[in-house]
Amino acid sequence: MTAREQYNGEATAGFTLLEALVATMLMGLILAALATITAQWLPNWNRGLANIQRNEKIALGLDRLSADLAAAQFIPINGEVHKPFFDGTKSSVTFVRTALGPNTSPGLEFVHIAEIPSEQGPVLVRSRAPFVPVDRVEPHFTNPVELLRAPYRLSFSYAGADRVWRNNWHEQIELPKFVRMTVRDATMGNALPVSTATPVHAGVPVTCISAKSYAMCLQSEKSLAAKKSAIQQ
Amino acid sequence: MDTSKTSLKLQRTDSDGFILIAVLWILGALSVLASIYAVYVINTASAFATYDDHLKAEALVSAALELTAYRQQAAAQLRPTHGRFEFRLGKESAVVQYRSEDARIDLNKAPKQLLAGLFVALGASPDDANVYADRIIGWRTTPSNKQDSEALAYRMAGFTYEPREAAFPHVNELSLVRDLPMPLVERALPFVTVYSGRAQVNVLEAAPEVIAALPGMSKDLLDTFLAQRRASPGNAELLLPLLKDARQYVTVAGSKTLRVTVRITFDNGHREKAEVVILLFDKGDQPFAVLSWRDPFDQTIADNGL
Repeated sequence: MTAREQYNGEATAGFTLLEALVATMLMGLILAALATITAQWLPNWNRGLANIQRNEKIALGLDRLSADLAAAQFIPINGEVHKPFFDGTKSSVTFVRTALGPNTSPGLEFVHIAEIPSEQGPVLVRSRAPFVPVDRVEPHFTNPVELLRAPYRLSFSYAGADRVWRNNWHEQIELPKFVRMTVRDATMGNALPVSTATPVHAGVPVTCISAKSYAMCLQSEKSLAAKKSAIQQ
Repeated sequence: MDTSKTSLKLQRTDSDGFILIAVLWILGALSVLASIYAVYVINTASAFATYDDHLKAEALVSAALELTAYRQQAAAQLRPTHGRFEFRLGKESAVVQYRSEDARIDLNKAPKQLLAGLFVALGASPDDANVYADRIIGWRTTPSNKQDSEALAYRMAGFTYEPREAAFPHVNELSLVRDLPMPLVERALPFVTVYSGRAQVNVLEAAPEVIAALPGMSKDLLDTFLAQRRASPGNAELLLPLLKDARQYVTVAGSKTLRVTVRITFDNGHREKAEVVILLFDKGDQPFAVLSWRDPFDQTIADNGL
């Protein structure tokens, strides 16, 4: 072995130590950077998870609402009336559907979905009452189920065959074709992406069975409703 | 020369180690991030899978109804009273069965004898069955004079409501009719409808309980008829003479209303069932309309054997 070869060997050994120090420093830097990023990112991550959990809870309530509204039936409140009972406003909706729930008899029921005041702010509640033919709908709704709580507010809008959204659906000859449910954060005022719309499945009443076409069905429904309201007056 | 090679080899190895440690740390950190993100995505995706199934089911049922209406309109002259077909949409498959709605007894049109016959077939005594049939007719009939005896009877019996005195808008309203026991109503519901629009029942499609409800139908006659129907399904010329006096209460023609049952199999093996009654139109832009729709996302649907 020559002296030059020996020197080269020592230099390589010293450089390896330096490399180890630089590598340790770099590792420290990388860990510090990762720790900083994680520290900044974790609160956002937690907020994101909280948002998802909140959306899932709201979506559960909306899912029940959608299934309810989709099951609305074409039921006039008594034999004198010819229009289906469906009373919708921006903040509440009342309609008739088949009875739902464990151990319920095979009947029909009024479903009322509306906000009620509470200490923590307005709460959206679903309540029900057994359906019986009545002159005017003033049933005593029971079995309240909380669907949505402040700061979230739900507003309804309704669309018919013309697909134009309205804030009210009252004493119409048909059921709405679609109901839109918009959830807003009352503190921010923005609509949440979990907002949704649902079709109302029942399209025509029993009396349309003899109609040749959908237009003729609607026409006969209109004339029958006009005749019945004239008799009532 | 040999020492120089060793030194060079040692130098290359140390340098590789330096890079390797840094790269491993970075890879480790990235893999942790990727794992957390994957867990988050999986959780979110599984939470929304139910809503996906709901949307897919809605689309499949709508497609099934449109295909059923198309098949019926294509055979407008001689509409089949039942049918079955399968189709796939995306990764899901659907089995569709439809049957003429007049296979059930229409609560709004059926004569008293047919209604009473159904209750007898379901276990009521003939006297009670006649009373139940009278109550149903009282519920659906508008009084012709000012003396409304049916409404008076409800008030006298302590009911908080009066009879509709118009057509039943839904079969579930049967539970409100005076004197009808609830267990009997529950047994009768799979065999009655308000969507047939006919006083007669379709004997080619009707359930044995409905055939048994026909006036003048004995047990022997019922057995003979059902055996013949199994042997020669759809053969009206052979089947109708067997019914003798009950022929005035039956039909074999296809109906404008159909009960469509859609059984959906999702790609994950999950199965659901929906039951829809549609009304076919002869004219106009809209070929059909929905009278009733029941899907598993709202209520469990009993298997009525269709």
